[in-house]
Amino acid sequence: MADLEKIYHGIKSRAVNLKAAAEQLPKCPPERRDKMIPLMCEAAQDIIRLLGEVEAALKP
Amino acid sequence: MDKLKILVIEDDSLAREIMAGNLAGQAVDFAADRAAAERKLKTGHYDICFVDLLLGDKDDYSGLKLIPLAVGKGIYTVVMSSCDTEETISKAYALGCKEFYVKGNEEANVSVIIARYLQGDGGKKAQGIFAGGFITNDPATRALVTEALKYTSTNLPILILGPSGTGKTTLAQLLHEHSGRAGDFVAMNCSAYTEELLESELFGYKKGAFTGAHENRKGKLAQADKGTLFLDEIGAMSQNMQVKLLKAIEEKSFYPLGADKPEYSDFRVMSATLEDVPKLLAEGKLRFDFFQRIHGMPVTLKPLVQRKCDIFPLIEAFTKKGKRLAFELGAKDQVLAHAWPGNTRELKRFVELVATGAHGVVTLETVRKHITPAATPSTAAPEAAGQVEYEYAVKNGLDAAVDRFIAGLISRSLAENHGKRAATLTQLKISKRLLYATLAKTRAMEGK
Repeated sequence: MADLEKIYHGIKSRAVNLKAAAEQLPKCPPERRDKMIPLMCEAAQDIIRLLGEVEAALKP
Repeated sequence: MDKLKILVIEDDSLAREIMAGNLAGQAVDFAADRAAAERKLKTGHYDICFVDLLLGDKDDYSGLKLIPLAVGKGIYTVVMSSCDTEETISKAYALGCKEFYVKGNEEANVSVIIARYLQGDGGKKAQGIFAGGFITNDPATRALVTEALKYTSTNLPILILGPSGTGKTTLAQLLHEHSGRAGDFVAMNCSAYTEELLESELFGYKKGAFTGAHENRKGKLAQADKGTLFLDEIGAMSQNMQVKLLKAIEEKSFYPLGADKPEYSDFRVMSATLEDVPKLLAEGKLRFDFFQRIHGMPVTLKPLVQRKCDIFPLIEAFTKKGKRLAFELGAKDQVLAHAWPGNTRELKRFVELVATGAHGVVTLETVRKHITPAATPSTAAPEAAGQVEYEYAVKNGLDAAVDRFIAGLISRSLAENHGKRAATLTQLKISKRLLYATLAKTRAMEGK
């Protein structure tokens, strides 16, 4: 798999996880919610980082 | 139920947390990288293993390399990955994974996977079924039923084909019992109702919907909520009814007669017919769109004459709780030589008669006495007409004699079917026009 493809895969994977987490969140007990939210923030930051990598890779 | 031991191999911490939520109630263990996964797979005992293929941003399909290790330990291995190229999917299956899912719908998928695992992947469950519920030693029939069992935990429809008495309803009920669906198995024979009755039976009605509707009544669709609706003899259903039912199947909602609000029911459809489906479609008796919706997994049951290896195991099963039977050699040969046009139903009736009447070993004479004479009118040479029919034809002409013959057959069929016209239409394979014209003629004759 080319590097760019791996980056796309990383974005897709994190986006899917974020969606699933957002769906679980309203049903979570408070202690689990406290654990989930930082992980979701981390996934969101990863997406931003990976999008930066895509941008860089696509620059001529 | 004991907790299942599940290993989730997943590098992403948020994905692990999501899986922990989806697998709540089970004994779940996690591995975040290949080394941890190898260690746990080698030392631990797991029932199911969920594998992500890429374990890290720079990883090169570590997950694929873990599949043989998990499969080798007899673990039910399922890939859950965002990487779903055809090549990857083929590779994963070639390495022995049982199921491959794209990430994104874990909540629904995980419960289906667990249900399928608990049902023993079809094979184990089938052994139990063949030992009791559905007796067959025929390899082709066993393979078909085993295949059908794999579909029980899904909502896909199942269409069971085969001649009358081959066990279509029994099989449908067994498939329902193994589906894990909490609701009831609700069966109805479509040929036993007129169109109006069929509609009220299926959809139910509200008080005052028609004369005689003194109270609300739940229809079969509502009764089958979270269960299975088994429609036997679908070929007897009118086109109009097929359209209404198709809508209800697709939308899982319907209007009972006289209702102004829809009702909802989560039913799974299984259907059956003894008729030739391509012919029903060609003749327009079965709508193509309706057929597409109920077709799903087709299971064709062979008549008993094509699986004679099942005759004596079936006899044994029918007498399991009562008087056991032993046949002398000639009697056995006679039983095997018979065509059993009524299939299992006929065999059961025969066993009941023999068990009641015979003392000691069942003799050839007893078998001959209780076996239905082989009737093959379609291939046999025409018999000479009886004296009465002949004289009637000579006196009134052939057309009148044919009309009288048809009226006699229809009258007998109606009597046998307790006056149900839909059943007569199916049984005699005649058009509504012929049925009603004959009934009108008969009434006119009686009025004279």
